[in-house]
Amino acid sequence: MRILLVEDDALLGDGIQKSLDHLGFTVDWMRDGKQGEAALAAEEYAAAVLDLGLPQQDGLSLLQSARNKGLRTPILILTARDSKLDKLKGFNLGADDYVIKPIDMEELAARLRALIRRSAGRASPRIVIGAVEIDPDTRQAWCNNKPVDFSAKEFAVLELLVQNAGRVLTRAQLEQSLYGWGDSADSNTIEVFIHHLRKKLGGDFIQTLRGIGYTVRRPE
Amino acid sequence: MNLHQTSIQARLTLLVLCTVLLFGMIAGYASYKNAMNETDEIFDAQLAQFAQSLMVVATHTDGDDEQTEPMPPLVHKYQQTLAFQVWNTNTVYPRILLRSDNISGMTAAQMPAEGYSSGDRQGAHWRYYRQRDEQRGLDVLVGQNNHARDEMAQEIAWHNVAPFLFGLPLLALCAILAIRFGLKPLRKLTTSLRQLSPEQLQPVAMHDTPKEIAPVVDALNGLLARIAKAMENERRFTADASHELRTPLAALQAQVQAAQLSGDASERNECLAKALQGAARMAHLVGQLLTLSRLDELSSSLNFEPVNLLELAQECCAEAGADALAKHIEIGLSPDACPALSGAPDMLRILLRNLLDNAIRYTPQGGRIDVSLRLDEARQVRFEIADSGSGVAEDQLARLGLRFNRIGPNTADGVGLGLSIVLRIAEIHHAKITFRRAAELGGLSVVASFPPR
Repeated sequence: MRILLVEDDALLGDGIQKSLDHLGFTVDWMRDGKQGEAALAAEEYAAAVLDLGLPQQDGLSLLQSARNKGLRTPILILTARDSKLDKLKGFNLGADDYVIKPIDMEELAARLRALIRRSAGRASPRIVIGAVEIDPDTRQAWCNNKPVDFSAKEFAVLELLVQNAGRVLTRAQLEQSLYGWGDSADSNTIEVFIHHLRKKLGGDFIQTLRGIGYTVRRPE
Repeated sequence: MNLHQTSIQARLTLLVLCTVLLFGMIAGYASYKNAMNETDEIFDAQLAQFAQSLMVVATHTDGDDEQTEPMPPLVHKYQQTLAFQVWNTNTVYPRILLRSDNISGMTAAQMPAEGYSSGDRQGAHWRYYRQRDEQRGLDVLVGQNNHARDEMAQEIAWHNVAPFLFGLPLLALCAILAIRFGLKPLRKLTTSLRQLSPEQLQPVAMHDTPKEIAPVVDALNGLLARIAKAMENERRFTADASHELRTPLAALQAQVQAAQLSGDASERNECLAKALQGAARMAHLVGQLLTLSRLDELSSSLNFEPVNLLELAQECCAEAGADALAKHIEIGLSPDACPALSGAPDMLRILLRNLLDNAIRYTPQGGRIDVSLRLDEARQVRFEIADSGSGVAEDQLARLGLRFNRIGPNTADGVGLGLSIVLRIAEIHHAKITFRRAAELGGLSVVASFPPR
């Protein structure tokens, strides 16, 4: 899942990007408020992590302008400002979560997953589609109640398809979600992942719409 | 109330009462004396008048024998006991024509001299007036009992002084009340000062403050404002400091967790190296915080001594030289003869090091730093560090030196305290720090001007 990180501190931004990458997210990291706002408007992110003290444009004004534009992306504020007033201001301006630095990276990932889950309208973390059951939070999957192991990228593709069950995702959309800016993917990498997923979950779980993309049946 | 404490109210009351009492006593005594003299005069005049009336009456008396007449009873309380004796001096032997019965006959030899006189007779003190008339052949003596006369005079004098004496306590009471009322603004000031606390340092209200206390209240309000500002600074500093510690801490944690999560050894090493970098940044921040708090502590007990700034600058440049070389920055010192400064060498070293470290931090690879030391026209020692970095925008120059204010992107590992420390040390040394664009190198130029010794 593709996440936007807006953080001006070099070491912290780098650490969050790497950690979230290992925890199954694709992180686009912007270093100032202006870049952050542009990226938020241009790309479709599953969620955003926003620092408040930013050069060029303050985090709160970024948040406000994003919400004014009607952007529904879940936004988590990650800041050192811990006063109640700051928190209330953040929530009032449309933040979905407010976290004080420092934070455990796994907790940050769990909060992001919860935000994404909620924004998709689900309360339970587990998604069941036919014989396949996946838990995005613990990054586990089962087929016919037997656990199945996936690589990080394989799980990311599966998660994306399952989160968007019923919708057709183009290869470009999948690639974009899987790779941040600057990462490049071979043109047939997605096909390789789909092939692996089909081998582990059975051939008819993921359907191909030739020349368009892939889809997973919506659960009954 | 403590008796050793001086009280304006007690002092004023005491002074006013003493003054009133002193003047009251003087005025009372003078008035008493005056009344006595006046009554004396009046009584004397009365005596003369009486004598002359008798003389007129006696002219028409042709009795041969001595006649003694009792005086009628007194009808007015101020009427005096009088006695008289009238002699006929036309005969060969003067003889008494008429006399009052309350005085025994006097022989001619016993008669007092003409005019006013005093004397004792029959156990009492008398005041006499004697007048002779050769034409009529009469010699008149009138006397007045002095005791009665004194009593009378005293009574009259007392009546004059009494209202004033009885008025004294009332006057004192009024004075005390007036002083109490006059000092009311002071009591009000005390009450409003008592309500102040370190958390609530609002200025004391100035309306209806008398102009004698106004300067005190004014000075007090000035002090309160400065204290409130200092406390506000302290509060903000604590908040800022904890805020500033969170980000490097978060970075440290994020890097360590990234290392934990990574399966790749080289990536893990990279993350751990960055974690170390984060720890170094935190150590630097904590060090700067300690320096700053120590400065505040030190500035109260400072020992200034002569400092050779040139030597100090050379040492600091040499220390910073390694960092500059690592970034391929050309650093040079152009010294000028300059007199010794009066200052705290350890503090000045921190000042120079911070300015040098900043210059090195914000100057890109291959840049240049010029350090110069010279004496200007006003005999001020000017220490200048100019760099070829990206400099600071005109509108940002004023914000330099604010605690935790960092210029530009957060890539350089500064913590935003260096210039705060520099400004604090400069303040302690009465030196002035100015920031401007370096004319030659294009980056930032920082000038510290120290006043002549």
